[in-house]
Amino acid sequence: MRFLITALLLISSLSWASEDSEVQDLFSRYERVVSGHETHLLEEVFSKQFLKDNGGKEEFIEKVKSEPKISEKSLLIPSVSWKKAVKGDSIFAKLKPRVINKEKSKKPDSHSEFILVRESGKLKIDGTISDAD
Amino acid sequence: MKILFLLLLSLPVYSQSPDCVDCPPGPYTTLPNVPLPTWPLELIEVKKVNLKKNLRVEFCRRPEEMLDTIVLHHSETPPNRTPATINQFHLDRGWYMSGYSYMVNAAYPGTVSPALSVTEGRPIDIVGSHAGTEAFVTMTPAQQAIWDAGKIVCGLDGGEFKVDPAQLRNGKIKANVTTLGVVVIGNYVPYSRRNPGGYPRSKVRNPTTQTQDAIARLSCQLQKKYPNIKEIKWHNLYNSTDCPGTIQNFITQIKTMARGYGCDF
Repeated sequence: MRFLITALLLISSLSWASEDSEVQDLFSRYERVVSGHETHLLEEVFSKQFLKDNGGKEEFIEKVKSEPKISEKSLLIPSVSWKKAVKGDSIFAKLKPRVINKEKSKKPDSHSEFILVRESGKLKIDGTISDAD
Repeated sequence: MKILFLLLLSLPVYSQSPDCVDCPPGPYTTLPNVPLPTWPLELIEVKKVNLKKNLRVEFCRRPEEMLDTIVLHHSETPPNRTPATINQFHLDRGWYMSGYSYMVNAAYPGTVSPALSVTEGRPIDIVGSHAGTEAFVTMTPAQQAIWDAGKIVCGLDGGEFKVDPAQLRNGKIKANVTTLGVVVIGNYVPYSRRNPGGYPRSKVRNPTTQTQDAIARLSCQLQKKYPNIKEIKWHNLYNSTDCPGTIQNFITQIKTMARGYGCDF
C-alpha cells in the first residue's frame, strides 16, 4: 500500500514536471515570437482558432512587427505561473511583467491569464481572459 | 323601440382606455384586453440561459439593497465567445460560476457579428467575482446596518450559510459585495506582449454607439429595479489592470444616454 502511494506520488510529480517544462518552453517560444519577431514560430505557439480570431496569420504578424523588436541576446526568460483548469485539459497561465515596476501601485496588482489548449497533442496559446476576481 | 334605444344609450362607450398603451382607436363598448406596461420598463431584453454552477464552491449571498455600483469590464476574449464559454472559463478557474452579473455580446466597429445581446450571468443576490478579492470599499450607514444585521452570508449551495468575517477589512467591505459586474465580451485593449489578442495600435477599437447604448439601457433598467445603484464605474478603479480598455473612455457618454432614459447616474 505504501509502495502504491509512493508510486502514485512519483508519477504525479513527474507528470507535473513534464507539463511545467512544456509550459515554460511554450512561453520561451512565445517570447521569441512577440519580442524577438521570430514569426516562423507562430503556428507552434498559437492555436489555429487564435490566429483565425485575430484576422489570420498575416494580420497577426503585422501586429507583432508593430512593436519594437528585442535582440536575441536581450530576450529574458519569461516568468510564468500556471494552473490546470478545474475540468478539462485547459491551462491558465500568468506572465509576469518583464520589467519590475519599482513604484508600487496603491491598487492591488492583477494580471489577465493566458488560456492554453492542446492542439494535436501540443500545448498552444488560445488567447487570454481578463483578470476578474 | 324607444326602450331599446335608451338601453343602447346606457351602455358604456370608450374612445380610449385610460390605461391602454397600444390600443386600436375606439369607440368600443368594453375595455380591450391588452397588457398594461410593467414598471420598471424593459429598456433592453436580458436573456436567461441555464449556466453551469460548481456546487462544491462556496459563494456569498447579499440583499439587493447592498448594491450601489455597476462595474464595467471587458472579457479580453474575441467578441464571439458565448456567455456559456465565459461561464466555463470562470468554472475552470475554480469559481462557483461566471463572476459577472450580466454579459454583453456586441460587434466591433465595422463588423456586424455577433448580434447585440445581453445575458444574465451570476444571479444578482449572489456576490460576484469581478472587482477583485483585494478591493475593499467604505460602506454607507445603510450598508453597514445590513452587514451588522448579519445579512451577508456565505456557504455551499444547499448548506448552512454564515457570516464570513473575511468580507470585511479595517471596517471596509469587499467591493464585490456592493457592486455588480457587467462585461462586454471582446478585447478593447491594444496588442502587447501581455495581450496578444489586443487591437493593432494603428486601429483603436472603441465600443460602438450601439454597445454604449446597450450598457446605458441595461444600467438604467437596473437602477429602476435596484434604486440604490447610483454609479457606473470601471474595473481598473478597483484593481491595477487595463480592463475595460477603451470602454472606460465612454463612461460619460454612457451616463448621458442613461439619463436620457430617465435615470440618474
